[in-house]
Amino acid sequence: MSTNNYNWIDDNEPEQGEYDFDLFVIGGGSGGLACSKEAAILGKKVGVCDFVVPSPQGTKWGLGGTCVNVGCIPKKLYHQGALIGETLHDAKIYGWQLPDNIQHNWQQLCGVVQDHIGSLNWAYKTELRSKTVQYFNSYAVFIDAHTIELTDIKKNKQQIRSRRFVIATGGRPKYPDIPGAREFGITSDDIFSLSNAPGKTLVVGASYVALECAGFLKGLGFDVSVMARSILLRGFDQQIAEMIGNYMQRIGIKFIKPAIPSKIEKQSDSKLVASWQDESTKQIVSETFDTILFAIGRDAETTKIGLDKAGVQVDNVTGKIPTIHERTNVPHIYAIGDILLAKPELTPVAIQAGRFLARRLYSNSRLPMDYINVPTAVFTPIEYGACGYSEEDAIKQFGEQNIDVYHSYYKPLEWKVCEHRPNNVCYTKIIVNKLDNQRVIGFHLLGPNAGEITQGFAVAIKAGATYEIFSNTIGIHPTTAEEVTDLSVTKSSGKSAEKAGC
Amino acid sequence: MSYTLGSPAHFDILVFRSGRVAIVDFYADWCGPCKSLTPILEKAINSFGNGKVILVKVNINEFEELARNYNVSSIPDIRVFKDGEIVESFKGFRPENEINSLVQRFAN
Repeated sequence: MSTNNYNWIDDNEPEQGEYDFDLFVIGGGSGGLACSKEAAILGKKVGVCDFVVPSPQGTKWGLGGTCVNVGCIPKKLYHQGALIGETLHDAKIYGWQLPDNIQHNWQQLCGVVQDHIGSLNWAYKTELRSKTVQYFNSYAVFIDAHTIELTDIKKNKQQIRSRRFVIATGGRPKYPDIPGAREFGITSDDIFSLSNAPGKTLVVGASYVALECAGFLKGLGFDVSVMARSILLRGFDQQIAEMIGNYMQRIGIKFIKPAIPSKIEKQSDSKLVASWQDESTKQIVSETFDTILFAIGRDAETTKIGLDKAGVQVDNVTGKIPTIHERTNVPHIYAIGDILLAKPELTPVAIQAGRFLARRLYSNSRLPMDYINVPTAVFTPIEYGACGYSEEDAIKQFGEQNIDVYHSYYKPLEWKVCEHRPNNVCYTKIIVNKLDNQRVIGFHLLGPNAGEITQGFAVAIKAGATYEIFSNTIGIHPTTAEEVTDLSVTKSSGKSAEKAGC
Repeated sequence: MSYTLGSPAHFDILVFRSGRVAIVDFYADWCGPCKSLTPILEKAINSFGNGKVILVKVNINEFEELARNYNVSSIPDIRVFKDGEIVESFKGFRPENEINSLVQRFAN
């Protein structure tokens, strides 16, 4: 909906008086904390509640939400741990006289990561206090459209009335409905704080969570298999998704696909047995693992918070909340973050949505959130950065004859002196709209540091850069990012996208 | 003597009613610099405390309200209490020689 005929004033209810808070935010994650702090800065009386229901394995964590505790932050640190392992293989070639067979200590890495998370939990608490946001470590349930009931860890209850609410409860990992999954399986909620090394691991799923976890576990030295029902990284550019899968296989990750597990059992020696139907023979096969990690998707946390009592509509299929400019069907109740229907589930998106919402509610701002061209990165063993359309979405949206795809394989200079580093795995492509002056509508880069590289190009895309601007920008040498400014071969030309040399 | 705080009431007794100079060490299990600083404080108290200076270690996650009352944000956060008042304080790691002089100063 455009912002022209959108009613910025949510209803005619009184602003003050009968409420405990001007704004109450349910959920202390990336979105919830950003929104509550911004509203407090704008002078409002703000409260936020956060409560972590333990995972089936009993894992809990502190303030900060998924990203800080069981998502982006620990993921990136474990990924870095794995990358350092890779660099150790290069080290000898670069002259370092390291001993052979260097081992990894799981507890050391886990300890360092958990300590850092602890410092973030504390920093967030301190920050709420300094911004005068009142924090409740309690679970909120709506009693009516203006009232919630908070229950703390000791089961003490209190009721809070607020003029407006923001629901930012996020999501939790799904479990499959098969015997043994909840009893014996773990998810991303648990992997980053495991007190013992996971050992031989089966990762079930084809999401970026599944592939990132499989990737760092392999990099840290474990025997890893990935079981996927069909395609990898649904929703992402499929050419790149396939290349990521190929790279992961090349480094020794075993792919069991297409397959879904039918049951998980535990042996007397504590090892787990996963069973599934083999695609070709149609026989049930089994294998033992030390750890089975489910990464098959996430459920939005909307079922137990009393949304029916507040009158907030929820999408039947996904459990997510449909919104227009982050407002639910109830005018004074808003939602941000992973629970939003059809919006990217990313921390920076939740943060910006939360901040912009607070500004629209409590200052003169009329700036809506822009969900288009949100850049993203996948931290698989070979990293992937993207902004804009995937190739298949661009074809669907604009028609194959109306786009051009400029592409190239490349090999980082740093890899060229290392014989074991493969050719033709790093790749980049940009998709341009021929009907709009060759405007760049899609950017994809597969290779080291993809996240860092993509950030800058996202600015170019947001500014509406065309192929001419990309190609007239002089490259920085020697980098891998300069490959993007050198792109000249199109897919439609049929010429080879492989590079000859410097 | 070094004490690890066991209860909030314990704080009052050690810091305000022990007749000693109390060096309060606000720390957390997840804090790297704290893990380095606390043993240095303990050693200095043992070597130079002379029975006149004690160390009171307060875990800020366990005793959040107490930490909040003293506005503890970044850690390690060290407060030196003498006769019921904070006479010196600092945040972050300090090397052994500085800690030794600090304890020696208050032991005399």
